[in-house]
Parts: sequence; C-alpha cells; structure tokens
Amino acid sequence: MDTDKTARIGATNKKVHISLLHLVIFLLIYAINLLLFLAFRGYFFLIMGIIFTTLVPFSFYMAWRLTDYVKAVLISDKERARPGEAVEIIFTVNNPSFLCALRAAWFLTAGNSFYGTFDDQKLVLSIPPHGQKQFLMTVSMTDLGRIVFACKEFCITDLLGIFVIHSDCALDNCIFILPQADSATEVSVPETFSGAAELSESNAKGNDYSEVSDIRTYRAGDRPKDIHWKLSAKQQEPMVKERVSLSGSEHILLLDLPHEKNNAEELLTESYHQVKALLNRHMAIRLLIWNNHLFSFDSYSCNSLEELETAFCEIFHTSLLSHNSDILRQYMKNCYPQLESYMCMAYHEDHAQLEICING
Amino acid sequence: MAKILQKKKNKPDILLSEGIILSGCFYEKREGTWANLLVRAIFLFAIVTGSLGGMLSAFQISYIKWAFFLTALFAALYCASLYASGWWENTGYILIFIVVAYSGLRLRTYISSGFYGILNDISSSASIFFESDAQVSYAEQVENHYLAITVAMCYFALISCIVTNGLISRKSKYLAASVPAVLFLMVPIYLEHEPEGIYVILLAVGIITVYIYRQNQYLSQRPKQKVLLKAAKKHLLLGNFSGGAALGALFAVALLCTVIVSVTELLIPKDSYLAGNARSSFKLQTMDTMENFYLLGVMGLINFYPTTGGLVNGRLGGVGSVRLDYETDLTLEFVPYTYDRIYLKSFIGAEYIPYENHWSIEDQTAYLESQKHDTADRLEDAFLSGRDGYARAVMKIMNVAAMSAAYLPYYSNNSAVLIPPTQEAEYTFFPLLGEVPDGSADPLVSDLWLEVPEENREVIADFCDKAGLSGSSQEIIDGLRDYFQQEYPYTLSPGATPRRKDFINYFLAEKRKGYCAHYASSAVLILRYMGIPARYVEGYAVDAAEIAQDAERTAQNVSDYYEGTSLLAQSSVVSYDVSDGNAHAWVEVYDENLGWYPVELTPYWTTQEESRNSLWDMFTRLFQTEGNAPSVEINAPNENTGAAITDTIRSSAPRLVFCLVLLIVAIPVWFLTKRLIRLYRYSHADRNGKLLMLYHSMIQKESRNELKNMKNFEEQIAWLAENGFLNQNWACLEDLIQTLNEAAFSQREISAEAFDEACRIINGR
Repeated sequence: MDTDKTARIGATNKKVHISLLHLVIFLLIYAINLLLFLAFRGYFFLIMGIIFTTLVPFSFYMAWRLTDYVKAVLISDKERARPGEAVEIIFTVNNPSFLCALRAAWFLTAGNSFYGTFDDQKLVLSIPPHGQKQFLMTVSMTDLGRIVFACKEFCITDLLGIFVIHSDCALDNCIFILPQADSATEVSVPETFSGAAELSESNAKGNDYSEVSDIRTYRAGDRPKDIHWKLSAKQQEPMVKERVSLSGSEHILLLDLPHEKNNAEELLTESYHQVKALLNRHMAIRLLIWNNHLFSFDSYSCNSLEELETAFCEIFHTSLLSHNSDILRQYMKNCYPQLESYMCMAYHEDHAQLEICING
Repeated sequence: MAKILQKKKNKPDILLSEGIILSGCFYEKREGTWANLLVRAIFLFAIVTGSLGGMLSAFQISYIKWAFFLTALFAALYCASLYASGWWENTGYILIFIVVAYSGLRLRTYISSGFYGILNDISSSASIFFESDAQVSYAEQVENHYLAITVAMCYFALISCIVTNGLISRKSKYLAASVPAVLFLMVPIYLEHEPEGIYVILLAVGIITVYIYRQNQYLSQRPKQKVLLKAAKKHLLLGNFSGGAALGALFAVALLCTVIVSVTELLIPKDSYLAGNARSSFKLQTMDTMENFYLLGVMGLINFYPTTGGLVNGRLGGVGSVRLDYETDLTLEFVPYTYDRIYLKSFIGAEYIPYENHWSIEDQTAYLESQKHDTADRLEDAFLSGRDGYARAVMKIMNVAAMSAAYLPYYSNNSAVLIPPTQEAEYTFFPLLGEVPDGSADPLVSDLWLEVPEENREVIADFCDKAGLSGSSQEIIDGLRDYFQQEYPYTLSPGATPRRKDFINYFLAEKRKGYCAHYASSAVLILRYMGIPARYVEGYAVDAAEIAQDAERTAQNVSDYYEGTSLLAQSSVVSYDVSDGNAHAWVEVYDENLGWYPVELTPYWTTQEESRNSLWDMFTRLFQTEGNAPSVEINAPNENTGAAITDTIRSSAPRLVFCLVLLIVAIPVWFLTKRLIRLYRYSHADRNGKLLMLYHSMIQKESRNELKNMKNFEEQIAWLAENGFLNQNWACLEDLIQTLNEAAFSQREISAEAFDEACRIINGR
C-alpha cells in the first residue's frame, strides 16, 4: 500500500440537514400513536409515546457523536498502473465508539486531474459499532493521467432517517496511469535521428549552451543578454533567466501535446515508447513540455526507465492545456537560442510522429 | 456519472468517471449476511411474542411460556433464513407450509380447544368490563386448559411468524407488520388490561427496529438488480449493510426501550394510571357498540329492523342504535288546534312475548277491543250536540314512505282506513280539548290489558320497589315518569339486546338506558303490574313547536278541516312533513271515564345524549332537506323522544359536508397535481429525461407484473415486442434499447434525431 491518507473527521464544521419526508412520516406515526392514546388511554400507548419522543434526541445524539469518533482511510494498492490494469481502492471506516449508523454517505470524487474530468459519487456504507467497515472498489482505468479519488465531505444519517449530519473531511488518493510498458510494436528510432538532436556545446565566443532553470529578478552583475525582456515588460522590473549548463550528451525531446484528449493520449504513449527505445540504446533524453502556468518549459531528465516514468508522473501532475505548435517552437527558440536542433513529438495528420526540428 | 457499461453475468460495471471503471463485483462482497438474518429473526420474534404474548399477559392467561417463546424463536429464525438465497426461499416456504398443515391437522383438537379457552378468558374479562351478566362461552374439548392454550399459542406463534415475515417482506414494510401486532393488543387495552412490561419492550423493539431499517433504506439481504441500476443512476454506490451495525442499532433500541419502560413503570405505576385514566370519551361512546359486538359478533353491529325510527310493529331489541334518515314518511294536512303533542297511532301491542321481544295482538278479544272507538263516538256526540269544548277535525295524510297502516289521530273512528304507500287518506277525528265527554268508557273485556308475563314479574317487582311506586293511577304514572327521568337516561344508541336476553328485563335491570320503545314497553308492564290497564302503542308524534316552526300554510279553507272549539287563537290549514325522526312509541292507559288515552313516559332528551349520536346519524343528516329537517329545540317544553333532534347536531352537518367535499375535491386535485408535476418535470427535463418519462409512462400503462419484474430495457422491450405491444422491426428496437440505455446511464444528452426516433417507436406502438 503506497498511499495512506487518514483523516480524523467531524471535529469541526458539522451541519445538520433534516429530511422532511422522514420527519413527516415519523410525525404521522407519532400522531397515530397519540390518537390511539387519546382514544384508548392505554398505558401501552403512553409508553410508546414516551419511547417515540425519546427516540428522536437519542437517535440524533448517536449520529452527532459518531461524526466525532469515526475515522476513515482511503488507500490503493498501487501508485502507478497501466491502462486496463485492476487497482484496488480500499475505503475503510473505523469506529472506536459503540455508536453505530445504518446509513452513512461518503461524497467521493473520482477523476483524471490531467484531463480535468471529475465526477461525484456517493458511497453508502453502514458503520458498525466499535468496529471497522471496508469498502473495496476494484477499478480499472482506460486513460493515461493522474487518477484522483477524494472525499471532502461525509454525512451520517440518524437511525430514524430524520437528521443528516454533514461533516468535512480530507481524504484523497491518486494513481498514475502510465502507458503500457510493453508495446505491441517495437518502436524504431530512425538512424538519422541519432545524434541529430544531440546538444553540442559550441566553443564559439558568446555562445552559451545552457537551459533556463529559473527566472528571477535582476541583480547587479547579471549579464544583459540574460535579461528576459518580455517578462520584464510584464513585471515592470528587470527579470533575468538563470541558466544551468546542459551536459553535452542529452537529447532533447519536446512534447508538443495537442489539446484533443485522444490525440494527446496517443502522443504520450508514442513518446513513452520512443523514449524507452532511445533509453534502450543508452541515450540520455531530456523531455521538455511547455508549462503555461510557469510560462516556461518543464524539463525532465530521463536516463533510465524509472526516471522516464517519474517524468511522466510529473507531467500528469500538470493539466493538459491547449497551445499552438508554432508558438511553442518560437518559445523553444527563445528559451534555448543556442540549441541547433531537437526532437519533437507532435501530432500530425491523425497520428503522432517524431520529427527533428531545427531551432530557429 | 455512473454508467452501466456492460453486463457480465448480471454484474454491471460502473463508469465512475471518464476512463475510470468500477467493477460491479463489489456488490457481491457482502458482510455479515448471517448477522443481518439474525437481526431479522430477532425483530420478527419480538413482534410476534410482543403482540401475542402481550395480549395473553394482559388477560393473565396462563400457559407454558418457554414453549411459546422457543417455538416463536425457531419459527423466526427459520423465516429469516428464507431470505438467505432464492432457491431456499421457495423450498423453505413449501416446507413450512407442510409443517403448518400437518401440525394443524394433528393437533386440531388442542388448538381449537386452546383457542376457545383464550376466548373464554377474554370473554370473562369483557363481561366484567361491560358490567354485563351475559358472557359468551365456548365449549373446550380438552380438559387441560393450560396445555391446550400452550399448544394453541405455539401454533399461533408459528403462523404469526410466517405471516409477519411475509408482511414485512424484503422492503421492511413496518406498517404492515405493526398494524396487526398492535391490533392484537388493542383488545386488552380497550378492556383496561395492559400487557406486561417485557412484552411491551419486545413489541416496541420489533416495531421500531423494522421502522428504522425501512427509514435507512435497508431493503433486503440481496438487493435486486433493478435496485442496483437505480442506485447507479443516482450516482450511489451501495455498500453492504453491515450486520454489525444492524445488531448495534437493535441493541441500542432495545436498551432505550428497556430503560423507558422500566422508568415509566417506576414513576407511573400501571395500576394507578389505569385507575385514573382508563375511560376515555371514545370508549364511552363506543362501549355499547363494542358490547354488541362482544355479545353478538359482527351481527351485533347490524340493525335488524332498520326501518322507521327503530320501530317495527312492536318488534323490539333488534336495533342497536336508531339511525334516522329524516326523509319524509307522511305529509299531514290539518288545522293546528292545540299546544300539546299530536299522536298518530298505527300499532297497538296487547301481549308482550318475553325473550321473543315483541308485542302482539293475536288474541281476538283484545284485537276487537283495540279496534273499538267508543271515546271518539262520545266526543262526536258531544260535538254534535253543540257544546263548547268539543270539535271535529279532518286530517289528510299522504303516505310518502311509511308502512301501510292506519295513522289515527286521537280520537278517530276511522280505524279501518289504511293508507298504502304513496296514497292519501282522510281521517275525521274529535280532539280531546280538556272536557271529558259524558258517560263512561266501555268496560274492558280482555285480561291481556293487565297481564304481566311471569318472566318479567321479578324484575318489575324489584323495579317498583326501587322506584317506590304507589298511590293513585296518576301518582304512579307521575312517579314512574320521574324515576325514568332520573335513573334511565335516554339514548338513541342503547345497543341491541343480547341473545337469550329479554328486552324489558335487560333494559330495566342491566342496560338502564334506551329510547322510546324501551320506556313504553317497560312502562306498560309496570303499570299493569301496579293494576293499571295499559297497552303499547307505536306511531308518530308531532310537537306543536315543530309545527309552528316548519309547517307550511296552505290556501285551503279552515272550515273544511276544523269545526268547533280550538285551543289556538288563530288557525289555518297547514301542511307538515313527518319524518322518521317523529316515529315514537308510547303508552295508552285505560280510564273508566275517558277510555284509552296516551301517556308519555319517555324521558326528556338531554344535550348529553347528542354526543352519543353515531357518525352514521350525522352522515344521514347530510341528506335531509330543509323541509323535513326536524327543528325541535332541546329545551322545548314538550318531552322529547326519538323525534327530537338538536340544532347542535344540525350545526355539525356543514362541517361534515365540508370534510366530504374536501375529500371529494382532494382526490381529483391530487391526481391533477401529480399530472401537473409530471408535465412540469417533462417540460424541464432534457431529452434523456423526456425519453425515460415517455418510456416509463408506456410501461405503467401496460401494468404487467412480468414487465415490472424485468430488470432492464432489453428484457422489457423484448417482452413488449413478443406480446405485440411494439410493432417495429428488431433493428429499430435495438436502436431504441441503445437510445434508452444512453438516456438512462450516459452523461451526454442523446441527439435530437435519436430522441425523435425513439419517441416515434414508443408513441407509434
């Protein structure tokens, strides 16, 4: 079990909702008992009246206190999975008290954060007294991305069904869905690509073969050519690009993600297999992907399969944003002006393909 | 959005979100099934033992309790286990029915004897409650009362468990379970016997637990496929209902009930409570009816002689309560001449037949004597001689809906004139205006006018002693009237006379309340016992106040109807409608000078009696017209009888009418509202919602059980197609199924073309 999110819930922010239907039904039964009592003056109906009267606060108290005691855990048996692979999601409710609830609902949100698709579900479980209740969900995912299961709120219904006590909680669990490790077709990297995008550091004066690692405010001593003029204009103060020198043996692979989901899915899968093939040839790859939030390229160094998968997880942490390929290449030129060429995985004419791009 | 993607062995997968599929097999991961069944068995056991055992404990009937409890427990466990699996449910029911039939056959003597034993014990308590000497008893075939009741109780426990289990069913129908259970306890509670605390706890726990399960939507051990489909559509993931939670809830309820029952019995002891609060107005109002029911069964609730005002030619005792319809029976046309009550005599009873409870006049001598009209002849002679204080009058009577009889005003000599229904007759009569005519009445020939049956003598002797009747005839009559007024309240609902009881004895010694027939019958025998010739008379009585208020003047000439002295200053010919509210029984007493004259011995009707009117009476009043509505004030000077109806009751009629109208209006309004809500929902729904509404509307119209039990669209549409309700080719139907599945389970709205095509298929079927 890789992920374990436990939350003590219910201590704060409890809200009570009343189910009118259940209230009306209860009042109807109460009224019938009252009428019978008035008609018969029976001791039995007197006792039943007292029981019914006491039952309401009793039932409410049970539910109210239970929200303080109950603890929930949301875990999964895998952190990373492949499309179609079964993943066990285990929702466990622990109740240290002797109070119980026959109906508790957990508002689950399930979705893919990479594609921004989320849907709400309501998981209905009864809570046993002084015990544990598990709900095992076997899920399988068809899409790549970061699958998030979260629960921000739960509610416990009292025994009579009249009061529904809502309470906040903070449970979440995520699973990264990576492309299939074993591709059905062997990916072959054209020979011409080998070394074509290799970054060679020139000894020419003034050339700086490095990549931007950060952007910061201008400090005395910074080179004027490092000033990020466009950003400085936006920020109203001089900003400079902090550079890290790139080693001379890495191959740059730019992921030009299309905005359409299925195309992006295909491109990512193809990229994964291409990079894996390159890694098999002992080539070092640096993945670049445009981050619209940071307004820069995210860079992931992949020297092994593990690093590749970590890189994909990092990519899936972001969200798929649309952009224009031409502008992306322009950004590439701006950010890496010294780079002569690079590999680019782009989607053209209904399929993803790897191509060599001349920077400039 | 939960979406059913596919079906594999009835385990639908659910699309939790785009690209995330939840395997449907999680439904099979059930926890605590046996704990659930145990809880079901416990509340089944609690309801059955609480109701049956509670009833017997209330009547303090002895039997072997552990045998009863063990049988109930085993039966409850067995019945609960029937829900463990589908095949066992069917087989198990067959087995238990065989057991029930076989044991019933083998132990029938014990069971019937035990049942009668229980009824006898209950009957004993009932006779004490109703303060009645009459007691229903059944012959017990088995001498060992204790054993017979034990066997019967065990058998009843077995049957009750099966029936209650069926009533509760899979859907936890708490009303179906609790109503019969509480009904069992209502019998002792009505008779002021309360069940023991342990049974109260059991029943309360049983009922409340079933109620709680229902309210928490605990439906069954194994939710049906359609439940899961519905849940999936509502984005619900139904986890298992925990047996531990169920047991916890049961324990909590049991604890609460135990504490409350214990504390209540400690703070408000049962006996002291019953001593102060046992009688309610509801009980007081229904005691007569319940007593009839207790003594005579269902037939005791039915009036055997439901005709005019509870009076049918001297037949007595068959009317539990007088139900009046206030429809016109007779229409009178005459000239009012007195402030006194006007009697119309239609039946004379000479001989009272005890235990058969009716008056007859089969004796020829008595019959001929009753047909004599010597007083009328003497009054006529006095009138014709031109003396003041005498008169001759004519009364035209139209028989609208009364029995065929002569309706003779006092004193008429037209006793041979019968009036069949819907026909009219004219009576000439000579009212007695105070002046006694000359001469004396014909002496009595028959002994019947002084005869008191042997069976009634003892009761009447006791009565006369208690009432202290003595003195002259008039003093005895006045004393009797006063005594009736003080000790024998008038009621229109005295209850039917029990079987094997004499009407007069029962009235005088036990019931001590009644309506005019009771007073008149008893008074006749009492007066005879005191040596005063008397006879029982039935007919109609009309008060002057009623005439003054409700009669209509006509354009007829007064002289055609009335000649001679009148006690009223101004008169005209009036028309007055007599209803069954005017039906009455009274006494005729013989006086040597006057002959037979009417004596009123029925007490005043008090306002207290109004509240005793049944709902049926109030209901019948709704249909009375203004013309025939009685309008006698309760404080009017004239004594009142079955004819007297108060304005208070009349005022309640509009309220009842309002309620009925409200009810009548509410039903179409309810359906209209439902229809409007449906239309509103339809108009605001997207295409998916609209299509599903149309489809469900079609399914509802077919109202076939086969259809309702089908789990999915495929099966339903296949059935509809096979049975000719959908006349499309299979390709179209497949498209329809696909569209319906999309509409039901997809997040996306179906296309307009698909919607139109589906609607075309559904509407064009």
